[in-house]
Amino acid sequence: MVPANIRGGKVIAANNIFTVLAGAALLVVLATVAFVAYKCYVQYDTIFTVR
Amino acid sequence: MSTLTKILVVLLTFSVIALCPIVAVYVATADNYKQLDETHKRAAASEKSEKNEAKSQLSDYMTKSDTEKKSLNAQISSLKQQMASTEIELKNALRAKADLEERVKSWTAVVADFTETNDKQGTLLKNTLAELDNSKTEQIRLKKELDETTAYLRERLAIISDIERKSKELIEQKTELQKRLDNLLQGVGQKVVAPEPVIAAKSPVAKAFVPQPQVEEIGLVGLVSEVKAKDSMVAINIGSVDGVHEGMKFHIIRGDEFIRDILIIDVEEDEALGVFDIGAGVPKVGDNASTNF
Repeated sequence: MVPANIRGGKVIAANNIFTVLAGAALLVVLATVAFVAYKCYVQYDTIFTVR
Repeated sequence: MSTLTKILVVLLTFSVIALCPIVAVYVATADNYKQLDETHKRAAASEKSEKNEAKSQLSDYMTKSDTEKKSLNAQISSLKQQMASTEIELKNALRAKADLEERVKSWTAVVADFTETNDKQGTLLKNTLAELDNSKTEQIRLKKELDETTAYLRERLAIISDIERKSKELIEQKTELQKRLDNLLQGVGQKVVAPEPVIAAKSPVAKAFVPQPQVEEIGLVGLVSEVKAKDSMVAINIGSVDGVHEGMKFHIIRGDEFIRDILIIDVEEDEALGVFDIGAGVPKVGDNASTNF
């Protein structure tokens, strides 16, 4: 399947509601990741490992 | 943008919107396991220290329990001994109880017999009391008779005392007469023989016969041992041991010739001293001196 908005070999994001939705979802995911990382650092003094 | 992409974007958006709050809420409400771990570690450390303390206490308790066990074993052994002795005492007590029960049975029988005997004795006592009353009346009557008899005896005793007084007087008179008779008989060389005991005579003839006092010859013979003619005194060689006493008369004889009589005035054990009495001759040493011719 070929993307619809390809201009000069570059992928151009569709500027529509769906783009907004995808961006919002990304923001929500990032905010959740940040919140989780903050809580892990506060409670365990690290983000990825458990000592 | 294809339709499928749009659908995926929409699904992704909704799923993100649904799941991310869930994750956020979960993380926000999740327990602090590190803190819990530290808490648990502290609790474990305290539990461990408590465990060690408990172990030490346990060892202490074990040692104490060992000592107490030993002491209790000693007490148990002593109690066993006491129990054995107590069992022996119990057996003895049971035997004693059996013996006592037998004795109680025997005593019960004895008491029954005693009660029966007591009843009999009671009846006998009643009869005896009745007899005693009769005896009292009889005693009163006898006492009256005794009083009368006593008065009669007092009268008789007064008579007897009068008779005894007269008898004493007669005995004194008899003694005086006996002395006179002795003096008379000694002059002729005789003495009174003790009378035979008088047996109560039954026949009238025997009652009428009164025995006369009998006499016998004294029969003392000695020799003249010393003569004091100036003092009219003669000593003979027999004395009180041979039966000589004062007042006796001795005949001094030389052969068949009568010399004279002497009257004894002093007597010793083996010698007597006399004075001249009837006669005119003078005695010599060696003449015979006898109470009888």
